[in-house]
Amino acid sequence: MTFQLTDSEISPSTLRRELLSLSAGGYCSYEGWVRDHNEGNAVAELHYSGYPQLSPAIAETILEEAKAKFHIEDAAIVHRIGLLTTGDIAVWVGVTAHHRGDTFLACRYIIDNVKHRLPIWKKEVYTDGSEAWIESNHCGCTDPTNLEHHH
Amino acid sequence: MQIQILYFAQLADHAGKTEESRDIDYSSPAQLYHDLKEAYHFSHEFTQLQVAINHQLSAHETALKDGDSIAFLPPMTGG
Repeated sequence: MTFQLTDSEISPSTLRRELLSLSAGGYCSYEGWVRDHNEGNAVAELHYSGYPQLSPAIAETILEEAKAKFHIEDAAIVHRIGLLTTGDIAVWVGVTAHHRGDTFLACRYIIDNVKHRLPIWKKEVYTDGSEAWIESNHCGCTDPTNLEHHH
Repeated sequence: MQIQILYFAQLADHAGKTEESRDIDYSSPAQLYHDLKEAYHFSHEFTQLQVAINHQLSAHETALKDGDSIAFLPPMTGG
C-alpha cells in the first residue's frame, strides 16, 4: 500500500499498472478533478498546500484502516499539491481485491477519509481574480455503506 | 524555551510566513495559539484546529518542550 504527495501531473494509467495483480479479481479507482465552479463561483485554478512531514503517516493509517475493514489486496493514494487548473486530477485512489464489492467500498472509504483527514488544504482562485481558502469539505459521508448519499 | 511554529493554508497567509521560531515561557499550545491569534488575527478558534507536535498529531493539552515544533492545522480540505 502506497502514498505519494506530488507536484507533478497524476497519470492514472501508470498508477493502475502498479496495482496489477494476477490474484486480484477487480480494481476500482477514483479520480478527483478540478471543476470549473464551486457554490456559484467560476473557478479558474486551485492551489493545494500540504504538510509533507505529516501526510504519509495519516495516509498510511487510512490505508491500514481500509485493509482492516474490507477484504482488499492492495490500495494506493496519490494527492497532488501546488497549482492546478480546471480538468487536472487532484487526487487518485486505487484499490484491488478478489471481489468487486470490497473494491468499491474500500475506495469510497479511502477517498472520504482522505478529504477529511489528510493534511492538505485548497485555495480557490476565481475567474474574476479573487480567491478564498475552502473552510471545510461539505460532504461528511465517512460511512462507506452510505452509498445512497448524493452530493 | 524555543519553539518552532509551522503555518499552513489560511494561517500561513495571515501570518505572512510558513514558519518562525518563538521563545515562550509557558508550555500550553492553547496559550501559544492565543498569542499568535492576537498577533496575526487568525480567524479560527483553537478548538477548530488540530495540533501537530514534531510532525505528529497530538492532543490539544500536550505540554510543549524546548526545541519542539508545532503546527496548528485548519480543517483539511484535500481531494
